[in-house]
Amino acid sequence: MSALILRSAKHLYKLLKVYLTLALLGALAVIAVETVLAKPVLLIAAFMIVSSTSIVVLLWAQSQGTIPRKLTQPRLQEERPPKLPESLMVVSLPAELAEEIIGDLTEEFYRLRSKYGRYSAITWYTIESASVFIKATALHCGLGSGKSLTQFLKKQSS
Amino acid sequence: MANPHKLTGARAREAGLRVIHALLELIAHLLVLAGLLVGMKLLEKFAHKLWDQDYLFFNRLKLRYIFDSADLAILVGFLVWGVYSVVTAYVRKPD
Repeated sequence: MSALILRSAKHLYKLLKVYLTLALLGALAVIAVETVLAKPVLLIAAFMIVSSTSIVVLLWAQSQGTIPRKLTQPRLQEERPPKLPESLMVVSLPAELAEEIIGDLTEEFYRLRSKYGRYSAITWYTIESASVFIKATALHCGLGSGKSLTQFLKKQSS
Repeated sequence: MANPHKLTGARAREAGLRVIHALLELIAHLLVLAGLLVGMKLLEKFAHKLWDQDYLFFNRLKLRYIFDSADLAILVGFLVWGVYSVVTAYVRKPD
């Protein structure tokens, strides 16, 4: 009997949580609508934030699927290059270049890891990735010369 | 050979159990809904006592609208999720 009461109480609590959430969402929705009507620029800002976040997430997901992972063993997977610098390169570089450069940097990362240790390899990889990211971003923004980036990328891939 | 009367009785009992389950689900939803709506109404009355009914937040948003939209969200939620739960409870095979 007590089990039945407990089950019913749990079910009622679950219903209460869902309906309370709906009520809060409804109240928030009207506030959001009024805010957007008052300041439409907020809607544009929110759209830009959401869309840019989506693009970054999609590019990252694409990189997960397209860039070959040489090491698939669970223990060794923990030792792979850090994800954030890699994602930055994926976002900033053209797809064909990104795959090539990341592949080269990853190979070098494994070599350095076996020679100098994990932290040294991560530090090197992060600095190199940041360098690639900054140069590629500068080129996108029209700040750097295309020649220097091309030379830099050639140097990276050689 | 199976007794057709017994079969009919078992089927009727199963149908009865399904109806009871569906009714219990409906009552649970209605109880929670009524509790929430009454609670929100009381909260609204209290808020109207503190501020005016047409008090404007940031000189734009009426206090009444917030409560009305919360009520609407709950009712729409009941129409969708509540009805779905009741139908599911009826369709589900009784233990």
